[in-house]
Amino acid sequence: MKLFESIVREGPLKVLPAPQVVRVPMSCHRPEVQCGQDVARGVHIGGGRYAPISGTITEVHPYYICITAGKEVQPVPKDLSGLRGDALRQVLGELGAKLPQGPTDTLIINGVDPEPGVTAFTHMLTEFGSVLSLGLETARKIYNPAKCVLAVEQGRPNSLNGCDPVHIKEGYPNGLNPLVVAAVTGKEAPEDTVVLSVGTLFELGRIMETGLPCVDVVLTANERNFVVTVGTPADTVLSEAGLSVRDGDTLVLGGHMRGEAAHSPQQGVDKNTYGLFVIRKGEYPAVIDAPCIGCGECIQVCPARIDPSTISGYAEFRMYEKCADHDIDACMECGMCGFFCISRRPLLQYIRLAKQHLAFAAQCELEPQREG
Amino acid sequence: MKPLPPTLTVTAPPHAHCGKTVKGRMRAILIAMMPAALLAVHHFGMDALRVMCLGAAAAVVAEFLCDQIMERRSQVDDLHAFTVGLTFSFLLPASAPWWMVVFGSAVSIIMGKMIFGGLGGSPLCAPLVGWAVCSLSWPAHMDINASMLTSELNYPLSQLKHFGVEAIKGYDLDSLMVGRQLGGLGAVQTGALFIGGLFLAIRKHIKVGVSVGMLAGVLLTAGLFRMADPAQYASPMFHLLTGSVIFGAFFLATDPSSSPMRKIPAALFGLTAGVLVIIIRVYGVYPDGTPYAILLANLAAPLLDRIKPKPFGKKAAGRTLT
Repeated sequence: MKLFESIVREGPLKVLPAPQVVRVPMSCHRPEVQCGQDVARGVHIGGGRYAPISGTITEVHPYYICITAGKEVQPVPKDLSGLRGDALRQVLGELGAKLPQGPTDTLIINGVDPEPGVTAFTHMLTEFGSVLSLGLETARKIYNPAKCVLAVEQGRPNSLNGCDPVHIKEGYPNGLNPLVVAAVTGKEAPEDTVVLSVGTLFELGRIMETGLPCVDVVLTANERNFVVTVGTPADTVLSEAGLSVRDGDTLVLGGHMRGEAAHSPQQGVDKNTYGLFVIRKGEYPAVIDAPCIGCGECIQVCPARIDPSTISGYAEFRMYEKCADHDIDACMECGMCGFFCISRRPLLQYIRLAKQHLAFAAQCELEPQREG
Repeated sequence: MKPLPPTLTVTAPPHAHCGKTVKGRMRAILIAMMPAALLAVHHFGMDALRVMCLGAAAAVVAEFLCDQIMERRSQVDDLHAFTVGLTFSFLLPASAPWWMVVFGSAVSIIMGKMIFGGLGGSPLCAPLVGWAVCSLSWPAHMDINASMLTSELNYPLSQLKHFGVEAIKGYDLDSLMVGRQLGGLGAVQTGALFIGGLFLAIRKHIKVGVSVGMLAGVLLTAGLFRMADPAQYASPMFHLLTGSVIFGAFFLATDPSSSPMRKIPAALFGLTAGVLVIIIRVYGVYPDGTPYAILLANLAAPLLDRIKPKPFGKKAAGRTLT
């Protein structure tokens, strides 16, 4: 796979019809619906997820909720007109769009495709101009920014009304939010800057259009882009894209660098899934439990300038405080370290594990300690 | 009956990989050493082949036995032990007795690698550990001049040490480059090793900063001495093409675990080693300072590794790390 490829997709996006059965991915959330219950489209089913189609709940699984299409129930849209600022942000949050707090000075719209091989974001900029404009207008109402910037990859003519285009050097991971902010403002992690991806703008635009939670997602599969309903089983999209999975393959929801491996071809796509990839068995060397050999490849590619080899070593031996000493919090989870690790250590996984433990530890510290 | 849905492999991201593996890197290093090994056989005959085979075999067997004792799955198939054994034998005179080759090679693996927990743990360059033990224990067998009396070739560094600059007038750089000199049997094939080193550098298998730093260190220091008194000190190119400077710069100092990982520390590490080579050659008792220079620089590597940029988005940090 090439990290530095620049692809342009032409032609209309293919809109897939809403499927008969959806599996809305959920994890670590308490479901708010029960098996057999009838739900209307847009109803909250738990964990910030909403029913993408009207129908009956047929399965409540720890990792997903399955809905079978039934009688079309007309959902009740929310009235969003006249809201501004934080009030609007909160209502949008109730409709599934979790946004950072405002107001802010600079609003950056990240239109760089998130990962190599994904072209959904650029394609959205050319095809969904009106929805994105509406989304941008909404974001402006929330953040009231003095300056609005659209970040696109070098050489792309894309624009969005009222945004100054800024060109980002092509190649992964230059399109990641923290790096885009640094490229636009010239400062690393500045305050008073909010980054929203084109995917988020699309969600905002759709919510404002309908007054309902956004149930569509744009994703890249087999070099084509599709608009699909959240929860659509991956194999439906795959067969539409002309891909198939065989025993031992890895089906990736998201991208090669940061995506999640599906446990089954039936797994539904999530609302932040921007790509669908099949990785053939044996295409890349398998991840193994090997020690670090200290070659330093990960350090030289790390955009956060931290030391993934040392951090992963500490995480391996559960010395998470040491990970914090080595600035694990600067990590932006791009996956470059694991991509270049010649020992094929699961570096990103170790880093995520350590981060999670540190977050838990911080939570425990916040609680008042009892005497004695 | 409905066919079963395919069973998927679930792994952690990133799902793609650059394709480089430890085994692939070791294979590249061995390929890079091949021209030098062939030239060594050409110059020193079957004796050189004997030493190289013994060294590599002893290292592989030693690592396998260590794995058995440590009760863990042997990873001898990653070719690292083979590479260490061959690297060690490159440093020996072709006349080295079989028991010393076997012992030194085994010590390289045991004391230079396995005792620190295997590949990646060692703070010292493994082959040099074996070399240091042998050269302290059996100086007579390791003495290149004394042990290679039958050869028609000469040991330029020893001549420089004992008879001064006048004695090395007869050497032209071309013959040094093709290995018409005595020294470690593979290490003196400087031209061949330079080509191999370039191959590794282009394929990005070694830290180029270390090699460049070390060569620069040797050239600069030797140049300074030469400028001070051309009648007393040899030319920088002579120092570069004799002994194991080229071999050290591309194959020994670049050992992953014993050299610093970031670019600037790696270059400083190489520079330190290069400067030490010339200092040892000029003031020390050893004709060729390369092995000890690299071992000394290895000791400084953890210190150099502390030179690091501030992480992304952090204000200048004034704290110490342990």
